[in-house]
Amino acid sequence: MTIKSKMLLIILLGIGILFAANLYSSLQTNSAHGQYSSDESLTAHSSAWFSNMDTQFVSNLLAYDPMDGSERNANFWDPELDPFEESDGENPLFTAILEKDAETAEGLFEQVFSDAIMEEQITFAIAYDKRGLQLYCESSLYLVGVDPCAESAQPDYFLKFGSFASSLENGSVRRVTQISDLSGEQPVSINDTLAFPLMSTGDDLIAMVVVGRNVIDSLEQFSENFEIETAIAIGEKALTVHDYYGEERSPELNTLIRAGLSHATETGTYSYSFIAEKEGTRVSSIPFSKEIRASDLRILIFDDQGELLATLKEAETTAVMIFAAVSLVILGLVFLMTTSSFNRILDAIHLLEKMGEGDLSVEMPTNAGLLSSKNDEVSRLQSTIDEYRHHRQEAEVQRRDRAKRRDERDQIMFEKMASLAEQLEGQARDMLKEEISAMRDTVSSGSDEEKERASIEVMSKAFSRMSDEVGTLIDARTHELVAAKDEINSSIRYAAKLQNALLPKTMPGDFDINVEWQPRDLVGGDIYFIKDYPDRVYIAVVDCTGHGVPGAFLSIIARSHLDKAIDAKNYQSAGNYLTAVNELLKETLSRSDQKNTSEEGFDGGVCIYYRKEQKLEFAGAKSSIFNVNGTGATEVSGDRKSVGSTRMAADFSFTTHEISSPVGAFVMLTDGITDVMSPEEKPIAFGRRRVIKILRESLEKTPSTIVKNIMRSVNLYRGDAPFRDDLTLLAFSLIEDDSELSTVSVVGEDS
Amino acid sequence: MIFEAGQRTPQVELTPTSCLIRGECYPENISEWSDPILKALEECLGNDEGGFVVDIELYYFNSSSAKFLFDFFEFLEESAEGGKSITVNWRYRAEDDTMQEAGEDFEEDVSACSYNMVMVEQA
Repeated sequence: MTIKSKMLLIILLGIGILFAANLYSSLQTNSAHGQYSSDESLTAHSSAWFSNMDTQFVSNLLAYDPMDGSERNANFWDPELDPFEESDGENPLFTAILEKDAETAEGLFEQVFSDAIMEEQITFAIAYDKRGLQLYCESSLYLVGVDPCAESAQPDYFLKFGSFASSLENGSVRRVTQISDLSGEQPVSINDTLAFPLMSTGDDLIAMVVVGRNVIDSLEQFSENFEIETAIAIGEKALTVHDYYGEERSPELNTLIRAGLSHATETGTYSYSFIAEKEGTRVSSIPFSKEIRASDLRILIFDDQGELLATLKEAETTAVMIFAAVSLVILGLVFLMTTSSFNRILDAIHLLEKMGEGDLSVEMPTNAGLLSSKNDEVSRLQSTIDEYRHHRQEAEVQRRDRAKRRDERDQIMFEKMASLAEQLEGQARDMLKEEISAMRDTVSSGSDEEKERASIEVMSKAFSRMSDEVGTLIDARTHELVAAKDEINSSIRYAAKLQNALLPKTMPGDFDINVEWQPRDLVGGDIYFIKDYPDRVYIAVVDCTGHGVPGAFLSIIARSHLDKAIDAKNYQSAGNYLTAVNELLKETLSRSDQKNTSEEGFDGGVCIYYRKEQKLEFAGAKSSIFNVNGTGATEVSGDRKSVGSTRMAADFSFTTHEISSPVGAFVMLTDGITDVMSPEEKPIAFGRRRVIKILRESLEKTPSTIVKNIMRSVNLYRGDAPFRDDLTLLAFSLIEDDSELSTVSVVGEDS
Repeated sequence: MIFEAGQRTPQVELTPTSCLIRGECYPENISEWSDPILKALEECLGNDEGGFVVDIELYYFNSSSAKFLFDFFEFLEESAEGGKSITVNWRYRAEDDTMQEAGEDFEEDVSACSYNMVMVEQA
């Protein structure tokens, strides 16, 4: 079952339930209303009927009552008055009755009643003697039903005359009297009657009078006033006005009477009101009079409600019609709306299905259905799907583009692979070629995704192939590089051996010398120099600019100049000696480099010790010599100029610092020691102050402990940081021995 | 203009009115590093912005860098002799006697510039 059918079914069901509820409620209302109008009708009719009857009774019949009647009339029944002669004396009527003078009595009764009967105030009057002998009977000329004075007329009390007579002993009685026709020709006449006794002076009943009024007139009047049909129900039978006039009853009336009578037997009540649906008539039953049981005598009222019922029916029909019409319209609209919406949704589904099959060309129909708007749910669904379709179309274009690029890429890859294959030989080439053709097959068949995957696979294979080749090539190159590096390293190692060979190997016998020499790399710019002559000793510690191989080159030049500048034959001050080295170096370097913008040269200090004079001389180029003895540690600074520097006057000469009677230990060092940096972010150099401090604090002042202490301190200071420069630390002291400065063979090498 | 510090070179910040050099200086090839800086300095000194302040805070420099510093100060001297007002602040840590001495060395070569030895707190 589609959603549409379900919706329509639900709406239909809802309308049905609403209709049923409405119907039920209207039925309830109608029934309540019917009940109410029944009661209304009963009350209205009975009160009207009774009031009419009572009025008639009081004005026409009660007037003759011996007690309650008019004075004139009452007087007729007074035995001690003569109303006929209007004098006191015996009432002639009573006299006539007592004397059984029937003729006179009848005459007198005639005087009493004739006028009223003529004027139709009463229908009849009958007088009986105490035994029931009729004394007088007169009835109206205009009679309906049996004539009460006819031979065949029989009033209902006649058969039970004894009890009737005794009922009068206590005075007048109002009663309904039915007079039937023994011949059966005329219908029963029904009368409202007043019966009263005539009492003698001795309070003896001497006669009885019955005054009656036929109620048919009243009934006719009642019917006319209320525009109704009526019938009198006598037990199981019914009489109508038509019966009295010898008219045929209409079949409808008969039907209604039957319905009215049977309702009483069915329900056991005699006061009711109901609607006879078929005849469109309200049938009511009211008691005839208070003096008689309703089961014996009652009035059936037939109130034609046809018009009202028709109106009601029409209203009901109209309501139902409107209800049905509105329901139909709603149903129709919902049907139209759902049909249009669902058709649009079906269009959307169709489009999606097509898209699922890969067909992106199906357009979304633009016809907006009845009652649809751009913003309704279906329109939004449609536009979203259409947008999606456009995206898919774009993606498709991109995909094709990608596929095209991929094909191009694959093509290039194959070409490169093929050219790679050409460079190979034998089986390897055949294998690669086979691989290429297999790859070509995979990338040219299957779905787009498979092709993409195949392409990536091809690419990775090609890359691994190529990288294998390139790897082989790199391996070869690396091998070459390693070989070259090994070669360089071995050269440098050899150079280091050479540089090491240039260092002094033996020390003067009267000197205690300890040296720490560490080029940062295998070779370096630092060098130290000791030359022993019979009368003097030269000691130099030198830091040439640069380090590594260039530094080492310079150090060899420096060493040769330190050697060459010695004037062993004459006294030579330390300053002069250093100045001579400076000149030699400047000469050499300016020869090799005319511009000489660079700062090649060295910093360092030289010491010359004259044995005989026991005099130590020092000259320094940006270098100091430290002395530690029993009184403390001191520093003697050299000049603030470098050897070989262009930043000095042409006639600059280094200062000689003379230390006579040298005591304690002396320390010379390069900036490899003082420039050792602490490992923090903003490092501080080890500096000369720390050197002095160590010297001052060293308990033992021998060269070897001094060197050991300084090196330990430097290594602690730098932590993990590597050395930045070559370093040389040289400590010496004179061995106190006055004996002889036994000539220690010349230290070092050379000539 | 900022020359970021390298592993062996200090950070150099140049503006039309100032120059800051901070760090360690011992590059393998000094001129490769210093030439662009000296060129930029020349431009900065060339424009007519009034005074020029040089702050130098070095922790270490090797001997070839000392050559660069000589050139640097020479350059400043020439500008100062040309009438430019130049102030040099040589900043050193109290415990760093090496740098203090180096600053004092340079001070001897400087006359036209106003030269201050500035002791800074240990950072």
